[in-house]
Amino acid sequence: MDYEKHLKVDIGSMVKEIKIEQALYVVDENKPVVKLDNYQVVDANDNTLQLESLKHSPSEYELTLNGKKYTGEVLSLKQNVCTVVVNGNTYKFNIETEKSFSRQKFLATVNSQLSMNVSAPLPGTITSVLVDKGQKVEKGEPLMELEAMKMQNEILCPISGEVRDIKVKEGDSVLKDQILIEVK
Amino acid sequence: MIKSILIANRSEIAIRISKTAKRLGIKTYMFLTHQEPNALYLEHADEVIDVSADTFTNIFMDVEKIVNYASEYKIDAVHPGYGFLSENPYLAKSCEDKGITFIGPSYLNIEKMGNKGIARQLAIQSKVPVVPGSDGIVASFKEAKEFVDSIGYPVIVKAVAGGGGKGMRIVQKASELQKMYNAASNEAQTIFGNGAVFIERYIQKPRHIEVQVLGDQHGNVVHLFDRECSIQRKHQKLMEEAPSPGVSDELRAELCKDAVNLCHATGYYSAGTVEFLVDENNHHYFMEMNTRIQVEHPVTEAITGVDLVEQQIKVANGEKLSICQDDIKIQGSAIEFRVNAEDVQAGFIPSSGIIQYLEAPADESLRFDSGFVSGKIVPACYDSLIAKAIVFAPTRDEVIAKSKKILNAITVRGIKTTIPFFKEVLTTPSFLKGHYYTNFIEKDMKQLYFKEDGEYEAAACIALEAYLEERAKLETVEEGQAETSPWIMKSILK
Repeated sequence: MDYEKHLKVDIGSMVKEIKIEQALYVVDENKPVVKLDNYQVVDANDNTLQLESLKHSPSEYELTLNGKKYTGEVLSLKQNVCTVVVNGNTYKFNIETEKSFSRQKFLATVNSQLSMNVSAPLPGTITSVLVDKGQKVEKGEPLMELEAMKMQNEILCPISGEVRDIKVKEGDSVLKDQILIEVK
Repeated sequence: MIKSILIANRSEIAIRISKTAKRLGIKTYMFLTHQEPNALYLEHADEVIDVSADTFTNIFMDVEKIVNYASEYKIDAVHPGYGFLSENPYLAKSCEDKGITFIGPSYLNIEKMGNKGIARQLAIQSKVPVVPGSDGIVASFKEAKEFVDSIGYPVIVKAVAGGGGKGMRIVQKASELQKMYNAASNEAQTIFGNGAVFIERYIQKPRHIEVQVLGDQHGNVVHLFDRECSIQRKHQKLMEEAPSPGVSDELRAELCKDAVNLCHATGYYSAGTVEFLVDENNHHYFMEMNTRIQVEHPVTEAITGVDLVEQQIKVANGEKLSICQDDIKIQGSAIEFRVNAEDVQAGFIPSSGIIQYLEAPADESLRFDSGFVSGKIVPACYDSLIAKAIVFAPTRDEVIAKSKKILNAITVRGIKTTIPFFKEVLTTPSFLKGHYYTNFIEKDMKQLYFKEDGEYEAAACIALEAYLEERAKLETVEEGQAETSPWIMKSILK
């Protein structure tokens, strides 16, 4: 990648210059990982990254980052969502502009102040409810047991707080993503 | 004499059995199923029995159909491989009734050892130590409470018919007993059709060590030393090594002696595994016996040079063991890595689909038992094991060094595998020291998969580059479109 002066991108045999009016953020769950600004790529701590890259096939890249070589594969790129595999590990990033990124950060803070719904990770039957309404719960504490694929799965509490509402009872059949319990 | 074998299994174990059969000049039959009509294992069969028209049953679970096919095709013997079928005494019995040789132990032994309560009684009679616990079934919660009050917490509630970690619950304190007792019993009832449970003291920090045994039908039994199987997730083994690095020579001798004694006492023959728990003070307790060839048998084959499937066939033939205890020596060290189609980052969820590319390096230290090649489909309806990488070398340090190289050189594309997990295990200090327990994954590992320094940022830069390229492409297309706008076209047409 050549970020100097103009941003040049190889497409097959031709080199195309594109204009980037705003800084671009590569974001993973609302946290910026790298930023492209002023024709330079910096990491989350604002350190400039030395980059060189080679493209082996439409989806395979060899990247030298600060002198170290990595090979990666782009699994999918849909709009601004890109999934990349490096060393067998999968990473999913959103590419955001300065504006869209700050809007998302704002939404995330608003959402975190609301109560949290715990939903069924897979379809099955509720075999037991382990907590009561109004009970204080710790993060990681089992809330209920869900039987699916002949296995009893514990539904764990994602945050510490208080049980606001229990929306199912023992013996209920639930669908995937059905809301089971509300915690705040 | 066995001249033909029906291999009633699929994937890597079917291929592994067929290799030995071929070497011994035995004809092999395998099932072509609708779930996996283009499977690799079929290429290793001399004859294929097409059962793909039957889309309602899983042939590998259907004892009657298997035995009927064996009779119809006049096949001498049935090898069940590993899994549920191999531990179903009804298969061994049905084979015997129809005059077909079952390659495995007698159905009586399968039945006795498959019942944890009876197996425990047999161990006590053979003077093999067992974990303190209820002798027999605990029929009600009231009984459970009385018993646990007498031995103290923590305890484990286990299904009599259980296995593979199902129908088991650990109870840390009195308030949890009722819920956990019910959960274990209900789960056992749904899975095994038998809700009976028993209770044992729970050993907080155990190691899972097992002894490979081999017996013939003339009362001879030998052991082929131990395997370390403490690296487990939800009671499922992920990697195994032989011999165990955490077992002293004295303890090894004791474990092997107890395993052999148990087999003598029960008249056990064929290959089998006696599983023990070893606590922090190096006390060992009999846990259960597996009456089959196991997934991890290649590590024992690697260190002893004995082909266990060949021995199983010979024993089924009624031959006397051709090897005696003094012939069997530990010749090195071996580790098996179970390459499962699972996404470790997403909490080991199954990752089925098409294997776009699969390659293992040619290395004389590596035995790669694979059920798949590039282009094959990993079906969602079976277990997730796709291949086993077994690395052997004279010393454990060499095995670890070679394993690091080999795991880096195995390439799998299209599906996710457990390889990043193994790479991380190979950097974990307690593993390198050979001193680890069954809580290894939760307690000793800093993260579940190997991450290279900077790879996260590298991945983000690649995403950025792919995005910019796509954007540049779009801009080019837009310019191109402007030139061939339908309005322009129209004006040309006029």
